[in-house]
Amino acid sequence: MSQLLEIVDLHAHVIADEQEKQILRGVSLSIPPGEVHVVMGPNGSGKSTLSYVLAGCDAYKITSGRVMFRGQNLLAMKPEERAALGLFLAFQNPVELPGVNNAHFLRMAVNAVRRQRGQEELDAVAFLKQARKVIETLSMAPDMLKRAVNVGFSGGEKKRNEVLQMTLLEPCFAILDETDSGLDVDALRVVAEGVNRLRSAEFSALVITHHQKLLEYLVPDRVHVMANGQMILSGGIDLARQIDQEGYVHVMKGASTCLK
Amino acid sequence: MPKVNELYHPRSDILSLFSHRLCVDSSQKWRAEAAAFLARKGFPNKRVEQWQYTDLRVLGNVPYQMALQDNNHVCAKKLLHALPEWHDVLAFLPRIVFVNGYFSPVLSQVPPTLTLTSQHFNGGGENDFFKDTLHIGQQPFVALNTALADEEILLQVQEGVEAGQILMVSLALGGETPISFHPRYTLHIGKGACLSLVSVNTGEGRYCHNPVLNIKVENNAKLKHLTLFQEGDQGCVLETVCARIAGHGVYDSFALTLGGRLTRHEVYVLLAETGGIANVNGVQCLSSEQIGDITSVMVYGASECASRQTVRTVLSEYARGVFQGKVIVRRGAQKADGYQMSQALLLSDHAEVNVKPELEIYADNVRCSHGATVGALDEDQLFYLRSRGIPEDEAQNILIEAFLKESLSLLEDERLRRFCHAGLVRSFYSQKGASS
Repeated sequence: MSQLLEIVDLHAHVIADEQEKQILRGVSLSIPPGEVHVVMGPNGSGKSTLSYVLAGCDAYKITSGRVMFRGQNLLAMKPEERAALGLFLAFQNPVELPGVNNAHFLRMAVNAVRRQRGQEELDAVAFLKQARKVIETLSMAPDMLKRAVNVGFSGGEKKRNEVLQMTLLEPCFAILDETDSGLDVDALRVVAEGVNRLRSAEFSALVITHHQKLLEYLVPDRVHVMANGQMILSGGIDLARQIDQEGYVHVMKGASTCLK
Repeated sequence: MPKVNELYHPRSDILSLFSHRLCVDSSQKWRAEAAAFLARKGFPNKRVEQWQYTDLRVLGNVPYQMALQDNNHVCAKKLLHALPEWHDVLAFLPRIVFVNGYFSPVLSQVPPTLTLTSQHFNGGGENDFFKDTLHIGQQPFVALNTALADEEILLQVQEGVEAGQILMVSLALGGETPISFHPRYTLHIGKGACLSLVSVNTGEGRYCHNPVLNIKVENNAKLKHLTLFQEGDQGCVLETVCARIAGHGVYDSFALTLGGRLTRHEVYVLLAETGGIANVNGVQCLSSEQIGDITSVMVYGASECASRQTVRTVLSEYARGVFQGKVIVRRGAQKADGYQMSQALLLSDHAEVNVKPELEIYADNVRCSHGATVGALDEDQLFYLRSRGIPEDEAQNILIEAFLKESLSLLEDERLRRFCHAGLVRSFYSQKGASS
């Protein structure tokens, strides 16, 4: 079966203080359609960088490797084209947009991808009807649509707003960058249910998390461990449990001996 | 240090644009004095601190002819009706209209709450309450106005009257030959009275509009003053506002600069008695080689007064923006509360903004703060929008519009805010359209 996403030997660096800092050192990862994969790993291992690079953030410079998404060269595309093709990144720290009305923003986004996908744009009434329905399932306050994007939102509200965007944009591949961090159990369940609702043979996800808790609600097909800019270990849900109990250091020690 | 005479343009330079009209008639002493002052000093060049960032050479090199009392109502009406939100907002307001500096009774609908008289300008001595304290008369464009003003318009709101919103429009009908006009206005808000004045300046052709507006806000009176400068491509405006605020009076002003070759909005406020409040806020949205300059001086002359100077600037292409805000707290003006903030968004590598805060404080119990930000659009915000499928140029527009919209949040009146927003959006997109 062909892969939805195929990352091969991806290297990327960032320029910080006029120095190149290598962050991705040969990442390879394949995700077939319909599967949810989890990436775990200690802080600074390059998980967030990987998600930004996939979404098209140009703060990172890609030096080698390739990424195919739905059979196309992802790295040659602009961020907006990636979104239209069905890639969605739920940000670890959703950006505040003062003065930008949330409903207006959401409709602009939905219609931008619909336009690029050759679908008819939604008028204000149709859009609001759809948005309100999703808001209800996410237990969000209805006034979130009237506020400025993420401004003054609590941590939980911001994450729900990400799930709202994800649901409305109908992606075939979502990257959730620590979407569970800082959430209480109820919010965690809402977020996980939001993802589960999208699960189908046509939807895949890459979930970056530190916590095994999320995986109780969001059972993954594969678990990968990332360290020092590489995927060093892959396994099933058991691997996540093992990390939760024994810690990265122990699990990685085992991995490095295996690799040798 | 340059010598004093090096600080001014050579006499032949800027002064020659007006000198053929400067009066030597000694029966009109004030004109002769102002003309002599200008002849002696000329116009400041960029070495004069207050004019460091605004180069007067943009006034061109063709002498300005006297603007005639133009009766071309068709052109004037066309300009009037082309104003943003004219049919939705402005047309419903009572209005006083000036064409080339002359009052136009035909285009005006003076409300009963406002007394309007016009008289031959007689030197303006009694209304220039600022003359002694800040040497306003020595500002080059006030001197030029004094030398060339023809009519003086007196506007008065009587004690205790709530005059509501009144529109004041100044239309400039210039042609190939540049014209200049130098109207003198005196606005008197009586004790406890209240007025929301919406000044709109627009024009076509080549012109230099050089108004001086003397404002007197009496005890417990309130003047809200919104000024829109939507000058034509070749229009220059150099406006000086001098306001004196009496006890617990309020002067709440907001200037919106959209286009024009050169727009300098210079405001002097004297908080003369206890409890006065003055705000000089504004937004400048410019492109091509336009220059916008907001220069304000707040003088705290009594205790418990407060002021706000908040200016936002959005510049593209080769536009230049200036904000010079000065606060002077005199000895004894205790419990002064001053705030200054400048935020600028630069959309091109060639655009330039110059911001200069100045605080001169002689009292010891004072709260004054100032801040400034200058930058391009936020990369994180842009990426966030683009990652949601919104194309780059659309994403930029969303952020710019948000910046502009926020800058209008200081306007309380919803209708006026809508009017300003329409002007801003239209101006911004027409600039973008022209440049792409």
